[in-house]
Amino acid sequence: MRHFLAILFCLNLFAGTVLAAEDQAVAVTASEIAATEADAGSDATAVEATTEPVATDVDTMLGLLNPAQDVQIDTTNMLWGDPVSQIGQQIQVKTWLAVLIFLPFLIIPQVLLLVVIFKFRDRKDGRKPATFVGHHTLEFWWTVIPIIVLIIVTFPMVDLLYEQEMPPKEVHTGDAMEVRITGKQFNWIYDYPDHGVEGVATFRMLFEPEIEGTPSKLDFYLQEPAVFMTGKVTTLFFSAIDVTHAWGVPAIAVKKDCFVDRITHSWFSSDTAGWFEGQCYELCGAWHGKMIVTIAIVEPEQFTCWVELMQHRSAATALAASLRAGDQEKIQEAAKKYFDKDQSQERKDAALYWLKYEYLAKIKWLENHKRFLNSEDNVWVDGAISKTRSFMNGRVQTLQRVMANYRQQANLQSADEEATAAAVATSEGAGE
Amino acid sequence: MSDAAVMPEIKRYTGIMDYLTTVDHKKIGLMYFWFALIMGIVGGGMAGAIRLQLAMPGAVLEKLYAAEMNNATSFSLFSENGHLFNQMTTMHASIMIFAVIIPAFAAFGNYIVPIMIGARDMAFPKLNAFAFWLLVPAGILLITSFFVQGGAAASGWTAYPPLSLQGAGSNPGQDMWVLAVHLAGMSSILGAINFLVTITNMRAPGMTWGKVPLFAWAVYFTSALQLVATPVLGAAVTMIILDRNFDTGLLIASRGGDPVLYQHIFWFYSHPAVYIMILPGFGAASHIMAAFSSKRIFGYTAMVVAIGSIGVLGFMVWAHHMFTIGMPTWMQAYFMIASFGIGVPTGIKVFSWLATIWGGTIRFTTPMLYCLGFISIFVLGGFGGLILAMVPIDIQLHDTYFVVGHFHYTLVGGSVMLIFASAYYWWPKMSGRMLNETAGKIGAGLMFTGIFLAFGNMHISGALGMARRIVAYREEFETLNHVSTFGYLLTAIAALILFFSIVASLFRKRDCGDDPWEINDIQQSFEWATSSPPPPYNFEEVPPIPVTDPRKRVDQQ
Repeated sequence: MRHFLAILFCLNLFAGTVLAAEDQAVAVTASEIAATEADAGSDATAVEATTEPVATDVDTMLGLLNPAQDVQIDTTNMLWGDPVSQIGQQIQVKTWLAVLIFLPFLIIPQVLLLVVIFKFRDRKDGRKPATFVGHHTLEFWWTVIPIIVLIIVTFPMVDLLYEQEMPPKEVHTGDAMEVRITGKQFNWIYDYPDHGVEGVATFRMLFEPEIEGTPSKLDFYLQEPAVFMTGKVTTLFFSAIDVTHAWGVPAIAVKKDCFVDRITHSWFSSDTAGWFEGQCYELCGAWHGKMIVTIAIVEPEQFTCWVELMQHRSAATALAASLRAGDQEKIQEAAKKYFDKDQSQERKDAALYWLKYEYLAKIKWLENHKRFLNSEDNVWVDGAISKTRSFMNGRVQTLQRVMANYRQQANLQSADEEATAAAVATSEGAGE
Repeated sequence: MSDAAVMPEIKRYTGIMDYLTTVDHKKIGLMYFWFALIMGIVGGGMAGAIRLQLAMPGAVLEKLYAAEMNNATSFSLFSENGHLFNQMTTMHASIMIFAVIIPAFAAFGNYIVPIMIGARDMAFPKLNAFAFWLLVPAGILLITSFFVQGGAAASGWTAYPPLSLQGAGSNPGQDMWVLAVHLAGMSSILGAINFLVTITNMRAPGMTWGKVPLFAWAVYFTSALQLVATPVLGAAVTMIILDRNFDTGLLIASRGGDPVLYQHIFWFYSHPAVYIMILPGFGAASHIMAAFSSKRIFGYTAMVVAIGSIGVLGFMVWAHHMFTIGMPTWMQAYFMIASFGIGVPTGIKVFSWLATIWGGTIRFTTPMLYCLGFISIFVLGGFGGLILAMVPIDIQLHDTYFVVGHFHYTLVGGSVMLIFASAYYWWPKMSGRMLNETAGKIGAGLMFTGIFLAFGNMHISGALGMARRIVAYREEFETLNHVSTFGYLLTAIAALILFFSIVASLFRKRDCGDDPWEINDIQQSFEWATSSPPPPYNFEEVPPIPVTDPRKRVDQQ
């Protein structure tokens, strides 16, 4: 028996040494890559900058990125769901493999128990019980076979572990996208340093007291997703603000603890687009259970659009808020400030997008939860939906009118300016 | 000068004072037992509150939101008060671990082990009493912490910082928890010292190590684990109380500390802790299954070595509770492989038990039924543990209900079923009265079914992604949670059956002989060679060793 223990210890040490050596090799390669990264870095940024954003079709974007427009959020489980990252698929396959390999050890004791219960029960017929207290062959095999089975299972598991934990080469060559995820009580904040997008927060409370027929207190958890790209290796860096959290999405097989003043990391890559759900997986206080995670994986062009929309977000939502307030003067002022700063098409699309976003999210949320919301004595959801839709349409019309107005004035202004500039030029020319 | 020295009158107490001042291991064992039973009902009640919450409509997030929107109150216990729910989960676990399971096995250890090895009492009787009485303030602290400002500790029985550091100065509940853990830990350590010395030094002459009964071996290894591991827990929770009250920054990263440090130190105790909670049960299971098959235990030496291996290996695998903290990959690989290792000695034990009952004449008494149910469920629990040990799979299952299902299978389907088995087996010896067999059998069946239902589908809901320690869940988990709550009801009924059987038995008269189960001609264990209950100081004179070599067949001594 002590030999068996010694072998076990040696196996542990051996495994540890081998894996440490492997880790050394990886570390060496990583530093070599880092040395050449300085050269490659400048090239990578140049490539990034020349990607042209596709023109936004606001309604398409709303369809894709509105949390509930026409999208089924997939909570994909690891047993019979469809994990969308390659690692997730491998985990699923290997889980069932492990279950299959261990199944005999699960079933045999239960079967033996049943056999014993029926065959060896005391029938009071004077049968003498057996007297054996050992059986060397049996004991040998039931020690060795589990050891062999466990060794067999170890190899694919260690391989998968290294594949899962070691960041792929794209991270070293600069092809990966970095996203920073911060957990706080009780929501998530996403920052995209590569794209200058910060502060995407995963829940917003929405108060719309003035829409008649809807309950006066409408706070619920609108899931703003963390948006990722298909086909792109994404490194995730986790941290937290107040207590330890853990960010996890089963569909992409990521789960990592988020510590205060510490950074942990993970990575994933998926070729499948879609919406997926996860949650906080470390007790963090009273509403730990409500800290849901939603991610959206979209095609690269759509991702670029989303980045554009996010970059105009705070200004656009301020404009949308002024539209909701209804004061015509203030609306004109806000629109002027908004469009004076930047008259690009993206900015105009962003204004429309962020105005419609909240209303459509609320409408779809109401639709999805209709069967819970309507009570027997109060069927109100349909009315609320149509009221919300008409409010939205009204405000969209206001915004479009304001935009047209502004364009007109801006055209007049720019026509004036052109005329003035031309006049200056001709006068200068004449002056020479 | 007087010739005859006069013995002073020794004051002997009766009644309550007797129990308050006793140093007799049997009375202390009984007190441990009642303490565990009562705290078990408290902890079980908390489990009921948790399961009730998770079966109510208000625990479904969608329904909760709908109620909020309709300005109605959702029908639930805790959905409005997630903090109270977290207190429930925290204290349920803390009470069950520190105030029920460990004391319950201490009860049987204290009562039975000295008799089993032919000793008159434990090596340090006063220390023994002290160790028990430390538990009483611990239990009081745990229960009264609910009634202080801010309520009881609500950061999980694992008490990870920084969550457990919140509310410092205004919420004494967490500090009371720390103090309770200190007291219970101290009790554990002192008890362990006592057992180690008693079993080493006070075996009756002729009882060599190779003849020590398996239950005593199990308690011996458990005590070694308790001795080495529990001080580490003390260190971990001391860091919490220091950071909360003495302005240290041991666990705060911005002050140079590390929350992960706590996790390592905590789990260095808490993994051996789970073996502390199961190993004595393993020993009792060996006795019970051999007794009711009219056979001797199969593979005595292998059983002893397996218990020892589990104990030693148990110290080498703690970080498998922490696979998602961001530890280096080689470390994850090591802990994965080491955790696999524990499956081997456990498998040896399970197969040896099966070989023990094979070929015997099996009597389906209540203790035997509990042990058979234990084997069935514990194997499943161990299987779940093996799945969790595999890191890539654990990434998906960490902090989900799969883990909750796993440890409840091993703790309730393992430790608690074995505590019940031991209670039904040894209560006649401890009190002189048999417990009602019919009620016991019904209880065994209910408990088996209840555990299977309550925790079996937790494996499924966890694999489907339901996180643990949540007060409300997404709609797809509703049915599974309802089934779990129903399973809880069955288990609770079984527990109440035990409790009321024991209380009812006290109203009957003592009518048990020495060997009410009629097993001692094969078992040859001292406790069945003396009266029920045994007399004070157990033996008038040193008992002759009836135990023959357990490694040889009965007919080949």
